[in-house]
Amino acid sequence: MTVTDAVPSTAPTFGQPVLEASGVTMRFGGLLAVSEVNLTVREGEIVGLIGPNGAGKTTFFNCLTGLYKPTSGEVRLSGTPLPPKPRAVVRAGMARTFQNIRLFANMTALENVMVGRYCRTSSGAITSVLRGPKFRREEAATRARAQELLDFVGLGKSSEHLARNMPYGDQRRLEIARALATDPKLVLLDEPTAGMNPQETRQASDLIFKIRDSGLSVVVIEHDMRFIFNLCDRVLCLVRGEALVEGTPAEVQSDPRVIEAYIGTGEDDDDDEPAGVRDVVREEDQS
Amino acid sequence: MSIATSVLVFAATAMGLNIVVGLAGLLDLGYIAFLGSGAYVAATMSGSAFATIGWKPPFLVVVLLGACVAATLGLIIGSPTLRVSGDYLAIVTLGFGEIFRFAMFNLDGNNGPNLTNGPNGIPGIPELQIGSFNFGDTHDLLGIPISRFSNYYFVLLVLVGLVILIFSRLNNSRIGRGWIAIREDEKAAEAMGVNVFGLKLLAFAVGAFLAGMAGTVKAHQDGAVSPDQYIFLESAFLLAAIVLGGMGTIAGVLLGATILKLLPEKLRFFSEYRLLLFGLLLVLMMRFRPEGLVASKRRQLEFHEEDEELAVAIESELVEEAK
Repeated sequence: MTVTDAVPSTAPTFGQPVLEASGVTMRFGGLLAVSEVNLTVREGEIVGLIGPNGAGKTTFFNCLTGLYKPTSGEVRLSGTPLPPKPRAVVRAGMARTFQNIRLFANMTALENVMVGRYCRTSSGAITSVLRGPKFRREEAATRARAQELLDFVGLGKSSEHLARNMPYGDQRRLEIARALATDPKLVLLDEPTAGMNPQETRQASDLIFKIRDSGLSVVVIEHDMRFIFNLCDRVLCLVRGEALVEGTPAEVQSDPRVIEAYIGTGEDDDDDEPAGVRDVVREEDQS
Repeated sequence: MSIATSVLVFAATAMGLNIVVGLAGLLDLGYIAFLGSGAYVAATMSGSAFATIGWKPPFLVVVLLGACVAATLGLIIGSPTLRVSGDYLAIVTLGFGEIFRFAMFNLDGNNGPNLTNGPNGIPGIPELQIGSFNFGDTHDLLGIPISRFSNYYFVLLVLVGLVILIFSRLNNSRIGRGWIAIREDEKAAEAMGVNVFGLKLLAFAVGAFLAGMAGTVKAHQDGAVSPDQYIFLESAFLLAAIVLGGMGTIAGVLLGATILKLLPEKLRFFSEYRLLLFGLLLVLMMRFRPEGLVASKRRQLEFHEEDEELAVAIESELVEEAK
């Protein structure tokens, strides 16, 4: 197993650790999908998670958010261990988006974000039926906050549009708004720019910086290397379920093992290779 | 008037089931058992000569008790089964409906306590009496005589109104949004912090509560309860009323309930082919208009996932409404 490199160099500039995952392992029968992965995310940090297809990035996300119960390992959020239950994880302050967009397609953009507020509101059945003052106050606050978040991601004008009618890039942003609605300390974004054109990718990158500036930590899975190396403070590269390298974008970018993992020994399908790495390799060759 | 009152009982029950099926999206094939448990509670506490419990509290207490017993049954049956999904839930609830009927059949004192008089049921349930107002007598309202059935009719009208109120208010709330999210994508809903299990259980309990309420009135209006009133076919009819009328709508389910209750009365000469006709009707509905006669926008969208034009049309309506 490859030992994960520690990176003390970037640590002092950020605050307390928000997320501490240690020794996370996920085994499906005979397949070891994620093996002993450690990840620490500090306040206000953007961490990238890269790796070839099938490296276990999304599985690792699912372990963090409780969709899977890790075979072993522990996930702590602000020091408290998280139970492997998605709802408890969201309540504790970690929200996510999905690789294949999972919006509530037949709800409007505003309603989607309002669902995200569910875990921070508490109107029960009785007050909902009686329409008590608490219900009205909370409902108005939910609506206002949802609209505010739509404005934040730049969808303020599309609040009444059905999620399924929205353009692809807007759906991705709506999913981010829905995740932000749960008042997280940390958001996990699973390929936020997949299928986007360069302009949309730039907007996504601006949005992630904006989220970070509002005091949140972000973990991003991405295949677009240019995007991830411009964006992240620290990058973790997973290969076949194991943490290969962890370090600053510059360190990871120039690490021969990362390049080898991506380019492989010639067996890899060409479609799987992200353009970014190929460029990186070419630059290496020239120098 | 007797048909009208039975239509209202049916409609109130169907509206209750509409919360479970139409809003939370759970298939419940044993729903009639909750109506039955309400009716049995009312019957055993009615002061009938055949009642097995001597205590006769005021009717409002009986209504609440009946509703609570039904809701408790709903929670008991719901808490283990709501973890399974779709078809499994349908089978478990189907079984529950039958278990209820057989339990009522067998609680006759031979095996266990005598609560229900077994197959004989509890006849001779006295008329409802609230204060000095007896529902069996004919009263004059502004010179118009209001007969027995009309008395029940108006009580049931209030009940249906209450059920509709609860239905629509829950639908337009945080809880209603949670239910839609669960129908759309259960996993994503859970990952966004929606209490999926709790909301399903709530739908089950509220639905059972309302059916229990309707059952207490039904016991007095029928004057007797017996196990064979609560057969599976009744649950199927309730479900058919919802599917025919339009899942998740108020007008649709009321329409569906009326059609399904009135048609057999008007088609008595046709009685042997009635079920065949219903079956055919439902198959045709599923093929040509799965969202029901009166469609809710959301359900229409769910049933036509490929239809882009429909989505655009509904969206422009939504945008209009928002302005």
